[in-house]
Amino acid sequence: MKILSVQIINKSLHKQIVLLLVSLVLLTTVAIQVTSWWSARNFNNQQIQQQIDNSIAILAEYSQTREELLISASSVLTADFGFKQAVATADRATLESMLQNHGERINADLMLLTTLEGELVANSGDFEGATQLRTLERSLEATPNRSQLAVINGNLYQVILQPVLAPRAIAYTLIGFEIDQKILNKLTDLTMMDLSFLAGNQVLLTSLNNITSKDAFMASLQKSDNEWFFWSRPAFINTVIKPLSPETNPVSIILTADLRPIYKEYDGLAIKIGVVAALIMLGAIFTGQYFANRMVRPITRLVSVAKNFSTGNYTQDIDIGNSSSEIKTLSNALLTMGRDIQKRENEITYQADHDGLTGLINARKMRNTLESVLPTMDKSLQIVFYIENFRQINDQLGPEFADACLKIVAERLQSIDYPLKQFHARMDGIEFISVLQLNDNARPSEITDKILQSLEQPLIHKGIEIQLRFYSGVTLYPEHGEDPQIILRRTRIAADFARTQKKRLHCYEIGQDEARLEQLEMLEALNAALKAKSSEFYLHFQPKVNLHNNTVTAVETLIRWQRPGSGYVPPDIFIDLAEQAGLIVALTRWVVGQTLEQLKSWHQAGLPLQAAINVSAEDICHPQFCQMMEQAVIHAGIQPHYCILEITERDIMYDEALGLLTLKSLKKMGFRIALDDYGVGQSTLVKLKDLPIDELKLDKAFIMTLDQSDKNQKIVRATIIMAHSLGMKVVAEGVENAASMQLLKDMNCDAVQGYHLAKPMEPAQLETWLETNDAAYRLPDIDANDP
Amino acid sequence: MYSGKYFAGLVLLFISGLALADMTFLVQDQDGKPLADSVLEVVSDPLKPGVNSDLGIIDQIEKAFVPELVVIQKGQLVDFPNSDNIRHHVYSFSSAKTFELKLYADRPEKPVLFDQHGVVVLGCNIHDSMVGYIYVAADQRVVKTDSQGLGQLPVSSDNSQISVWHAHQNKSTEQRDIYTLSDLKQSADKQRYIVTVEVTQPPARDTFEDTFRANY
Repeated sequence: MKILSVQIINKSLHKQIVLLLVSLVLLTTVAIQVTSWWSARNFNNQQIQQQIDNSIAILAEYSQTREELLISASSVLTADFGFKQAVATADRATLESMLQNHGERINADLMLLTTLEGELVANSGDFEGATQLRTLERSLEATPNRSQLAVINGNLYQVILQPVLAPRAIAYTLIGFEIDQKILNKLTDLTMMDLSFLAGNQVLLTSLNNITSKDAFMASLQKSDNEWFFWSRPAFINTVIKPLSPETNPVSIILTADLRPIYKEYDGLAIKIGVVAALIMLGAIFTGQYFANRMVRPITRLVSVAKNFSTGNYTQDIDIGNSSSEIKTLSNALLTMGRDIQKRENEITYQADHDGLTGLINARKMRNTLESVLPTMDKSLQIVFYIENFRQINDQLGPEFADACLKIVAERLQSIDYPLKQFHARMDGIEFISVLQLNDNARPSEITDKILQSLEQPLIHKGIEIQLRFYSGVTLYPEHGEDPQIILRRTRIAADFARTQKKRLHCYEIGQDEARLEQLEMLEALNAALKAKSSEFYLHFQPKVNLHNNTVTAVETLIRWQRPGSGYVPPDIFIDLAEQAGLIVALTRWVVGQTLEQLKSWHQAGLPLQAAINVSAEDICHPQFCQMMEQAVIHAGIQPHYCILEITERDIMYDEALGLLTLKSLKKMGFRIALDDYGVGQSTLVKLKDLPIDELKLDKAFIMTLDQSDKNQKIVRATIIMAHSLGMKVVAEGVENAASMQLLKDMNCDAVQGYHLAKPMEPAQLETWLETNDAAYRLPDIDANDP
Repeated sequence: MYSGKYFAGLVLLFISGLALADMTFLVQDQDGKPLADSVLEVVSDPLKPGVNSDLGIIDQIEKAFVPELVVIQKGQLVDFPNSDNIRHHVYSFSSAKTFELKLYADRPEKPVLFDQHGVVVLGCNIHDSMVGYIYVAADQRVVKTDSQGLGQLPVSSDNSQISVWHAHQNKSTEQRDIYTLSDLKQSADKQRYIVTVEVTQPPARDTFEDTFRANY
């Protein structure tokens, strides 16, 4: 295709140049031919016209000279008295001798004497007499003293008529010269033209050759010169003169100019010009070829250069030889273009492989690198880092600062002093990954510690010092997988595990990938169940007993999940999962709605129960949580104080300020707040005093073995006293025997719940339980608001 | 000087034809213009030869015959006095009278006798422009038309014949045409016969000198 197009260029350029030259020559030749033909024709026409004019003048002069001769001769004759006398006496012999005598004086060929009626009386020689003499004489009478050309007895004469006056006309003398071949030849010599004399249609005399008949003569006059086979030209120019002659048999003279010699001359010239033009044209073709080749050769070379560009070869020398400046400019432009394309291509390639912000290779390149590099290394370590507090940095210090952090992380990664192969990439957002080659005696944990220490060094930017926190995952190649994609995924799983475990580093453990997969499946099922609002979820309720009056005032709501195909799923597992996957808000919403519906049902049935609902950190941090709760109680028509929201101290601390704000709002709305799992975790008394807490739920770790542990009894007693002094009620969880319950009652604990009293159960069971134990744990009056 | 004699002749003619009825003739040319100086002569009936004793005279004054036309009776003599101070050579080749009076001055030796009926054309050999005519009548009933082209002749009947001649007639100069009166056209009032003669006014005489002058 490319080669073809080059040939087309080649051909058309050749053609055009050659065509141009040939056309110019052709045009010039034609112009010269036309001009020369035109001027030659004009010149010849002038010449011929001049010749004709001259000939006519010569003929007129000749005719006049002879006419004068005739006039003088006839006048002299007719004025002679003796002649008159001879005429009057009809003395024929005398008359004839006189006519002869006078005729010889001027060499006249015709000397006649006729009566006035045209009858021949006498003649000078052997004239036999002629008809139509009278007609001729009448014609001559009309032009006195003028000669006429007349045919007499088949011969042509220039004749003149003179009357014989005595003193009135008594006879006519007719005197004339014959115009014969001899005269014609003389006239032809004088005029240098062919002459023909015609009487009517009869050819009398002509200097043209081979004239046998009138038709042949006319054909001869009309003859064409067919020298140029497609174009016939007249061979002659004919001019007709009408001399004075009798009307009955008029004589005309045709002057004929032969054009053939002129044509011959011109044709010779035209052929010469044609030959010269053909030679020049031949030269033009060769010259055109030469120039076209010269012009096209560098273009062909440039085309091959351009072809090389398409294969990615941008650096090449162009040998265009001694070409024109335009070609040189084009060549330089082409080379510049090649260099520019290469530069841009390099830039694009770089951008395609690198992260624009940090200059590290990007995810795509890293995947490719893993594909190509892993098989070349016996062992390697993959570590993925996430900046845990990046979002806070971005929110509090701005994206510019956050970007600076990313750059610094990249710099720190690149500046790690490591003797073997290492690759560092920024994958997406806050994810970085490093791949380091390991030798046989390497200790991965030392290496990762070294890297993390380096990354976690305090960072100062624009005078602000911050500490980046990371969570990271590690895999080892090939123990944790040989396929680069799998290795990468498992490294991320490890990091994810670290995140959920709040660890800075987790090394992948074999099987985690599969567990993770299972988790994902479960998460999917959970999500689907939530969206479907199906009955896979249901609620269990565990009663709380008020120790002061042995009444059941409240129940704790606990969610259960019967997963189709898998069966019962423990709440610890799916709630954790929901928290990690951000599904907990939706789950809580479901629980709240269902609980309130149940409370409504109970309240209508005369069971004025309160319900405790567990909420998580994410719930209280959710901007619409308060609003959701408010709408839920309004929708169910339940007073908020029947609703106890249980939350752990750790969850409150997840975002302390927001959590506190939410809890205060909820409390203000009338909801009751319980601090769950008190006594374990990071409970601090400093924080406790500021929390808007209504009741404290002692963790079951203290309660389950309370009766056997002296220390626990001391802690519980002290805690109860402290809580009461802070205005909080105390609820003990996990009461499993009567002794413990009695102890708690003695310690003035406000309420208890646990297996000793009742397991969590379905609403119907609870109702039965309440009826059964009515004697032991009486329900409070419906109006009783306080437990 | 000569008109008295001429008049006497006419009176004589008039008296002799008194017994006959006089008829008026109008001679005109082909255009209907009256032709003066036409000569009409009665050529039928018994011939009445006229008196021939008088001498006719044609003078030559300023290279012209005066009068140009003279009508005489057969057998009459005509004298050709020369009033010019140059000589003339009077001749005639007419069939009615061929004669020659070689160069002379004043008066020829003797008058010339015209004894044949016909027209005699006079010329001068050395003055080609000079032309004169003598009409020699055979009958006394002859008349020359006046300036009105009119002339009167005594004719006896419609069968009478007359001859008509004019010097400039297209026919031969010496020819006289004969007409029977009954063939002639008459005027509306039948008072006159009308005779038409085709004439050509002769051009100015082409002399040798004229021709020479015209050509050079």
